[in-house]
Amino acid sequence: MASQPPFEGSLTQELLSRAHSPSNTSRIYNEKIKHRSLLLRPSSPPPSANSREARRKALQHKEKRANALKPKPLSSRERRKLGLHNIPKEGQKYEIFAPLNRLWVGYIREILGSELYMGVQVAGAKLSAADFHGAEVEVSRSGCPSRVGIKGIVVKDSKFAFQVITETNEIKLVPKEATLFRVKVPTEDANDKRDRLEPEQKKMFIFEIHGDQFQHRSADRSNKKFRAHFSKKL
Amino acid sequence: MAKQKGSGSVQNRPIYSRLSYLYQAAAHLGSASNDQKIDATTKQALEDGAHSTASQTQKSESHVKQAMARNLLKELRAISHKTQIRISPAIKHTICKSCDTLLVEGDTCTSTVENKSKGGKKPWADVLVVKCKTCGGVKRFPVQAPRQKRRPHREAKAQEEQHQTMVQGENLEAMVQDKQPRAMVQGEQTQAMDTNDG
Repeated sequence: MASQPPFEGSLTQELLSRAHSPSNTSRIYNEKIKHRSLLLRPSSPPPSANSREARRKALQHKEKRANALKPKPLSSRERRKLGLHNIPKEGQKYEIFAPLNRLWVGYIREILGSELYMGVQVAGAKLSAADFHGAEVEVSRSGCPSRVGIKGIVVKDSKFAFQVITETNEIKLVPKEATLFRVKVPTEDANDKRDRLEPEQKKMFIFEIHGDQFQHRSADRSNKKFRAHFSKKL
Repeated sequence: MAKQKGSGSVQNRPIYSRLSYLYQAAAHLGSASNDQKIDATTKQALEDGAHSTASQTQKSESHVKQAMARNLLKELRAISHKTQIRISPAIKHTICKSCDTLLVEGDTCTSTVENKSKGGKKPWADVLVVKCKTCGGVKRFPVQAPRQKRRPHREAKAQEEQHQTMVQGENLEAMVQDKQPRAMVQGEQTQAMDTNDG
């Protein structure tokens, strides 16, 4: 090749000279073809940066692995698969949940304190943030007539419905939408006055929950402020 | 914030009592004392000769109780997340992190002591491993090592140390002057927070 540079040069130069002026042709030929540098190894990024990258990746990988080994809450799908929250039909018994209701009455009395005697206007804020698992609830009014009169202990308080176990050992799913729930809390301690008073004579603190306004998850209710306003649906 | 208000009053008392109610209810449903009662009834049933049905009902009843307890504890965890109220470690140690089961020793979980050091030579490497029977989740507690403090306490201490080392060369009065305005700012912030709450 070295013996015939003019030939090769003449061909490329001829081609270049068709498009460029003679001075440009020689410049381009010299820069781009004659003295073209041949790269044997990519010079960017510099090798030092490469190793840093590798180290960072290794660290990331390690962290990821450590995180994967950490105990984590099961996903909802896994929970469903294990049946962690299922209540089988044979075990649906009112007696199981009756003590839960007694506990709940104690709890609601504790948070209300003296407000138990002052009426719902005062106690409303606390009741809206209270927990209703274990409360005895009765449907007093509803858009769906067949729902009226369902009475039982709340087993699950989900966003749009209460799951209620009735005294006839059935679990019923009562949607909150367009229903009023009545809750009764005996004001006197049941143990003290049971002998003297009949259940009808006992003084009760009775309040009603508007299901429409109550469509929140029970955990979200805990620090949510409810505004008093007129309901259009009444 | 509760500390500054004085030990007599607790902020968010209803939320605390809600949490404690949930835990109590779950403990009541998931504890072994209930099962003993059922055992008594099943013994009676055994005498009657209805072995299989009695054991079945007992099984399903305990299953229901566990499921309900799990529901309540799930609720408990959700509320503590939502309201940013810390559950005490003693309570947290009795709840399975992955499936929210109430951990009762011998009933719903098994605990063993593990030592992963070479040949088990290092006594301070003893780790109490509590394994949940329902989901296989594992809790590990170092037996010998002292408990590490919570992060805010840890960081505050580290900052103080750093501060001290920086100031060592300087005058002591300068340090006092530096600290006072900071305290003022903190007080103002907490006041602002209080008004927001109210």
